[in-house]
Amino acid sequence: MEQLVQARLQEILPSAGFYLQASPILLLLVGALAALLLGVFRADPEKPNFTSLGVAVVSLVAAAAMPLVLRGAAPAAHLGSGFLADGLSRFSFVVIALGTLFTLFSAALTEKGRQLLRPELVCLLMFSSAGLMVMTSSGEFLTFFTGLEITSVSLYVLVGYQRQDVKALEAALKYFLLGATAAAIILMGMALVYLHVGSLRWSDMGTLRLSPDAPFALMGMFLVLCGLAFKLAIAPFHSWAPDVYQASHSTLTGYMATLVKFSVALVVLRILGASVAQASSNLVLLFWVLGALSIAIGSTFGLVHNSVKRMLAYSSVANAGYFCLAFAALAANPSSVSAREALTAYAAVYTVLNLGAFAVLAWLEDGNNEDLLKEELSGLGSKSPFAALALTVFLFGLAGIPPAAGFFGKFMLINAAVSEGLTGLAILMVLFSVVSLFYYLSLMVEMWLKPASRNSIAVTASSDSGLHRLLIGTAVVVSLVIGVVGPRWASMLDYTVATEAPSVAIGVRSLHPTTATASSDPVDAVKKKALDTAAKTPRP
Amino acid sequence: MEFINQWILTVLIALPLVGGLALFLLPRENVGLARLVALGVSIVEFVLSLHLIAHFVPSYAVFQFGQVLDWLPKSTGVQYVVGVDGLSLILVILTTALCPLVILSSWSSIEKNVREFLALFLLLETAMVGALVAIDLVLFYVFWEAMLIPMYFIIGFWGGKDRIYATTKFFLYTVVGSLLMLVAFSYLYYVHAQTTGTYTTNLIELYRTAALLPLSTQMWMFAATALAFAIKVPLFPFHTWLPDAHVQAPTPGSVILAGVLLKMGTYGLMRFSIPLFPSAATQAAPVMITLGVIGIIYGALIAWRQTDIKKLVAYSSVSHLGFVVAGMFALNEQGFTGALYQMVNHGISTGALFLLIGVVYERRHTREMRDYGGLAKVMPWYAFFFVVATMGSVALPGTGGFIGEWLILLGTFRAYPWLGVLCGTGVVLGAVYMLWLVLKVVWGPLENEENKVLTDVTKRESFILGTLSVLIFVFGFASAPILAHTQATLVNLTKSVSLQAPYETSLVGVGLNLKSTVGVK
Repeated sequence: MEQLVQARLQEILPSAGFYLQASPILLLLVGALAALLLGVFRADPEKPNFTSLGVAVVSLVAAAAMPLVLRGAAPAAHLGSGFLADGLSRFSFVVIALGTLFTLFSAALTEKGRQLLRPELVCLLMFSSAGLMVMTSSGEFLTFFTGLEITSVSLYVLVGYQRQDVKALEAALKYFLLGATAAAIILMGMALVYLHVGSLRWSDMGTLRLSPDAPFALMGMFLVLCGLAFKLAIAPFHSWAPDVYQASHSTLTGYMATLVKFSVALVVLRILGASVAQASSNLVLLFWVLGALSIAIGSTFGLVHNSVKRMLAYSSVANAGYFCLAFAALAANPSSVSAREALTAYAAVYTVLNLGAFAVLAWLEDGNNEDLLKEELSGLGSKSPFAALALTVFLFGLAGIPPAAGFFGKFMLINAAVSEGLTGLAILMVLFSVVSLFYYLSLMVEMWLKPASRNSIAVTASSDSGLHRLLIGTAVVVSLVIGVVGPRWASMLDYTVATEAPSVAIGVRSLHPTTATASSDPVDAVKKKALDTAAKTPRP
Repeated sequence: MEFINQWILTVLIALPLVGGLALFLLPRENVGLARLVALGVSIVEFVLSLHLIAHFVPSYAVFQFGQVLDWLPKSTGVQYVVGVDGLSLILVILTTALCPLVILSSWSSIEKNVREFLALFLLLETAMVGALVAIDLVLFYVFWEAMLIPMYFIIGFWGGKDRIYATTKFFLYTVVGSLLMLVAFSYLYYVHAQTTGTYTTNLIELYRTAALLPLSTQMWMFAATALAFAIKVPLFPFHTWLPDAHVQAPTPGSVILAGVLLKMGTYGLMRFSIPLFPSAATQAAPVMITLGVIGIIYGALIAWRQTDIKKLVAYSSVSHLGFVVAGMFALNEQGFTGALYQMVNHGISTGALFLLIGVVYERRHTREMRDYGGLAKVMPWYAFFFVVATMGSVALPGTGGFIGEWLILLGTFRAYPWLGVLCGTGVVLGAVYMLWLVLKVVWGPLENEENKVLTDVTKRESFILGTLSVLIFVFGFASAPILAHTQATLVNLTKSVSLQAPYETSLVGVGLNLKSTVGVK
């Protein structure tokens, strides 16, 4: 046994290739520590620190560039299945790094955001991004959970970062308690799944039979997915989202609402896509129900809110419901390419649109209330046409009206769902899209069609800089270009998932003959448990 | 010449967009320059569109001036495919011809944010032309939805008192239908891939598979697409957004709404719903004609009771478009021809009526019928144009409307005699409310003091109204050469529907080899 463990350890030790492929994560971690250390030498730690910001920007740019440089590399698994270097990981690294960069710039260019830009914030934001990257590139539950916790713990702090603000503290506590519960639920689910499969690797989940005959396996998978649904703010696990979104600073809200969801969606894609369910009707049903609830609740509850951020929070609940179309299609057919394309397309488009929308809000909040009301935006079109136009492009994009981005994403989601026979869910989605259009339009009405009133906000000159316009303009141009040429990356990505090389650890086969054919045999939980850390032949 | 033939449609789509964006380069204060530039762009657009008439081969029932460019990645099968056939040609010309006139009419009716208005209007023109020439479902859908955004702002920003309510209603109504249509398109895309193994959204390819689907599937998909188009038409009972939108829209908005946007609905029915699902269309025809007939009579009766001139004309649109729908669902050649011809006629005469209402509204700021009367005494030319537009609208012999309505009645009567008779009553009712309107506004005693000082139409206004009046008669007398352009396409459509066989067509254009490209067996 001792020997076996040793052999396995030898096998999963990082190679040179790992350091190269995982360089975005490592760069972010090193950058985060450097940003934190630089803050130590400052006289006043409460002041924003631009040196830290510079370090962060450099490491983020490098982190975004590395995957592009390495984009041709063949898929390979490192650290066992702990780190998968494949197309999906590289794609997520680029999006996460660029998204974080956008968040930092957006904070640096607004008055209120600059107050927040202390070394710890920069550090936490980068840690959280590194956590997201760990999540999206993991091939098994343990690394995934580590990544999830790195991200979540950083976010709990970030939400409550404005510590003078009671509301922010309340939101942070709420987020923390509920988030910790969700994490516990995910852990419990992982344990139950492990009980059945005897492995934490997603590539080994092919044998998992999700039927009421195996109640623990079914329950375990449900618990894991429901925990992830919490992170995605899918109804009925969404109740934290409006409060947390409303109370955090808009740039951070943008970060939470986009990159976290983007990454968790990719994790769900990986779990379902690794033929976890073998076309499980139970999982399809789960996502049907979650999707329908989320779309309905997100679309209708947003109607009654006057706070723009709360409204956008419900819009993000509805959007998470749209993700469920792809999830359900993937559960119905784990090898569905159209579902993969739809998800990578829509998740990224959604990220661009919402990052942009929250950046505009952060800009408008400068010198005004933290929490803008709809009527405060009245007359914005004549006072600050640029901000209003940008917000219009993002909102029409979220509403899925071409030629703004978002239409193709929705179209691909509908295609994916319809091709797996989920027409009902697709119809539900389009009907409720119309309902949600109503609140997007109500913002248009305020911005463009109503004259400025006593309540309407003034745009401060300090944040209306050329650089700021350039930043938001970039997001506008990106979303318009996506709207015209379509999300091309989705069909260009290589969806081959990296799998672990066959184990060479001595004697595995002879000791545990059942494991050699693990993927086809029914699971013998007791025998397999002992072997988790030991090597195992992957699926043929 | 080949080069022009190849690129003409793309240029027609792109030109207004480029022009609209170029307006923002002009100085904000110089309103006159912006107006001139916009007018110039739309006139160039019109002149370019004449190239289509000059080089269109009327005897071919295929899409001509075709161009295929790569758009989305190859694996999706979504391409940029454009072309015109007899059905879209005449509507494209209608669009490009109306736009300069509408821009000209906006010189007096739009006073705030002129530059933005003109830019949105040119954007709208791009979307309209694009929707008419797109032969790819996704491309069509993009233009179809893109029409909404400029119109939303035109009504919502430059409209009347209840503009926000009206424009929101307009937007949401239209979107409900279009999104369901999107699901139907998506299903069609998937079914086509299942049967043939290739993913494509090319309409010409989809015509082949869609018509062979089981009837129940066809019915669902027909329902989904027809709903989207029926809302846009608007067919009774989906018409309630129209009076609101028309009344609240500024004059140019109303004109383009009546002139072109409503035609998008009837165009969609003839381009998509009927040829894609011929069996379902045959099954659903009695229902559609009945809805059309209800629309004709209901619209006419409601119009009769209106005291607001603009509302009257709006309801008359419901009635007239009921005719168009009834005609096309007769599913015979006369019906199709009449429907298409009437689309154009309605665009011209109702457009003229909305302009005429705009003329007096700008002078008196009221639309109530009782505030007018006897205008012929102070505004003789105005009265003249009003009477001509009315004649066009009630389809007097000699106007285009006569030919259109006559063909529609003929077609409907042949298919469903009783419904044809009911359509006929609509003609009578139409005459009643329109002549009532003329009586109340133009004739009668000139009693209102404020009306006595009204000035007659200006040169600019008489140019617009004069052009439209001439067109009303041109369509009345020159129907043969005009219909010659549409005949081949409509005969082909009739054949497909009567045999309930797939609609056979293809895309012809420079560099598109008939043997090797899409659209040929």
